[in-house]
Amino acid sequence: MSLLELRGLSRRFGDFVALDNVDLSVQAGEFLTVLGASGSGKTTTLRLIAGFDRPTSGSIWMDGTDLAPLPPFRRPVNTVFQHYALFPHMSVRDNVGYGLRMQKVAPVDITRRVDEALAMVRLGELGARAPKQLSGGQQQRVALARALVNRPRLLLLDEPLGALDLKLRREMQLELKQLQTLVGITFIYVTHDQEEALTMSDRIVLMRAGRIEQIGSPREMYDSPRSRYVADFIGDTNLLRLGGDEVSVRPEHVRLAGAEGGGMPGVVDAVTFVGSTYRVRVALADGQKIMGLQGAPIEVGRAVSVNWDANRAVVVRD
Amino acid sequence: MTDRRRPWLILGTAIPLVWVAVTLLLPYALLLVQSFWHQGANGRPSHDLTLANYARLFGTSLYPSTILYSAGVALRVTVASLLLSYPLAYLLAFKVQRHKQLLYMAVIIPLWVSYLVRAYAWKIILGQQGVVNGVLLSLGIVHAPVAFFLYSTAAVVIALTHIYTPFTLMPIYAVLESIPPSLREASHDLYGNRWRTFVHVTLPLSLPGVLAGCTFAFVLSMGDFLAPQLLGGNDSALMVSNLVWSLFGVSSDWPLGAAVSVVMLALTLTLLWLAGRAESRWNYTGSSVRKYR
Repeated sequence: MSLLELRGLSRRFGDFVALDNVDLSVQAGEFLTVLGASGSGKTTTLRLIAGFDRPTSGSIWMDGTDLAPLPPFRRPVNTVFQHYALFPHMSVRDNVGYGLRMQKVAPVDITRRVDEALAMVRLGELGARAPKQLSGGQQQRVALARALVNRPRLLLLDEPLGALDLKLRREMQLELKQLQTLVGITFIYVTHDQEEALTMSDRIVLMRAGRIEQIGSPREMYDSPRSRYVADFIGDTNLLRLGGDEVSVRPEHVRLAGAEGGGMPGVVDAVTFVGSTYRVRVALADGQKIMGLQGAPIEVGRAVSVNWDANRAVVVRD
Repeated sequence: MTDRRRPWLILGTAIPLVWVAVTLLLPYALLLVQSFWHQGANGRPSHDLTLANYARLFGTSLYPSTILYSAGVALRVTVASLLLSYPLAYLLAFKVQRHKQLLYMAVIIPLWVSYLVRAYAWKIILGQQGVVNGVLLSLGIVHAPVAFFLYSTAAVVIALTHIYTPFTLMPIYAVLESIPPSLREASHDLYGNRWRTFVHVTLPLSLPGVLAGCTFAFVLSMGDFLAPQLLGGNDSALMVSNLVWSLFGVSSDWPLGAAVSVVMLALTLTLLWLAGRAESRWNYTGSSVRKYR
């Protein structure tokens, strides 16, 4: 069942088209990631759904109403901001309870729901602290609790892990995903980090220059990229010209054999140790380069032949 | 730092320090000492130390009541400046998209016009042949020019408000600009409408700027003497600085004048100190309104 529908959504800033006639249907309960480089329109999409910005044209349907003309404070949607945007003059508790106070929920219920929300993000003891007394990860969790306490049907997250270091980010990715499954709220998650998108999402929307380039599950996006842009953006890949076609082959599907292996002939060009494997670059006879992953090291300058399963090579359009 | 640059650094620091010491600290020190001198019968102060000046100051009702009156004028000026400049600063910071700099300059430019010109302008506007009377006469609302516009406390308050409003506007504008837009968006996102967002987020976060602006308006207008002189009439609206002026001038009672100045200085410094403390307590956005001080 679709919870939210974007129909013909556009946003122009003068001559610049930030969002170009986008149609998108978001399913209830799914974790949808909007992925893209900066300027691709992903943040614009989020801001239009939240109501911080108005579309130039198009509509945003939820429960049979068009949200587009409504101010943000009348939309059943909450946001987790990129830099948390916690109110610096309020305690953690008051931050979390803010939305409930604005909705004039009874004080008894506010106390209970704030307690629950803080417990959910494991910050039960820190309610009296000021936001600046918390670490980045803790502030992130307060921002999450502040949004989730309102029990929205749709939660928007704008690069919420962008300010955290890599290790903490990986932890929080798992935690967020678990939380989403637990509360069953639909998440629209904006990021430029393709790895994050692959790890967490039910579906990924890859945006490019204000349009949707491809929508699909992480598996589909990785295994069957429709364009060279998608293949290149999501994961590492080799883009090769073979005959008239352009073909994407993932490094892990590239097999190297001895010179008489019967594949494409080439010479090992560079070898890098990356921990679990060796990344081997081979210069093919026609001048193209191809990257492969190998369990064992191989010396530079060695003649090899390169193979892959035909069904692993995806023809991509420009 | 290289040793070669050190002499220049010392010189560069020493010159302003000496300047401040000679032009500011030294006169203040002299003032403080003088306030304990004895006013002789011949009108010349003798150098034996006494508390008599302070006793006279607080013993006669003239000085305390004038200080209170000045504080009252300053308070009205402060409130009026705040009511004018907060909405304006809010519009400039959040609503105006185009010509923002131009509008800001329009508010600030009057600062470059001489104080005297601005005070005289009000004399022209409020006087018997002034603009206000002209309009009232031509509309037939009054049949003879109204005299009490000029030479009244109201005239002083109006002129001082006009003169000091830019000083309240600047810090308020600066603090509003420093509030991250995402905080107001977060409030909207959490069901806070425009008014409640203002009350719960924008206003509390702008208090340091409000306080800085109010301190400016209050301190500057409390110490003002030209506006009361020009627009306040001869004695109906004299403020404490006018008294100091006449004590040093006409009555040539320097020790008493010094004592009044010291009391005013102490009051002002106390006020600045309290305001500074409150400001740093309320300062959440890390804005730099304090740089105006």
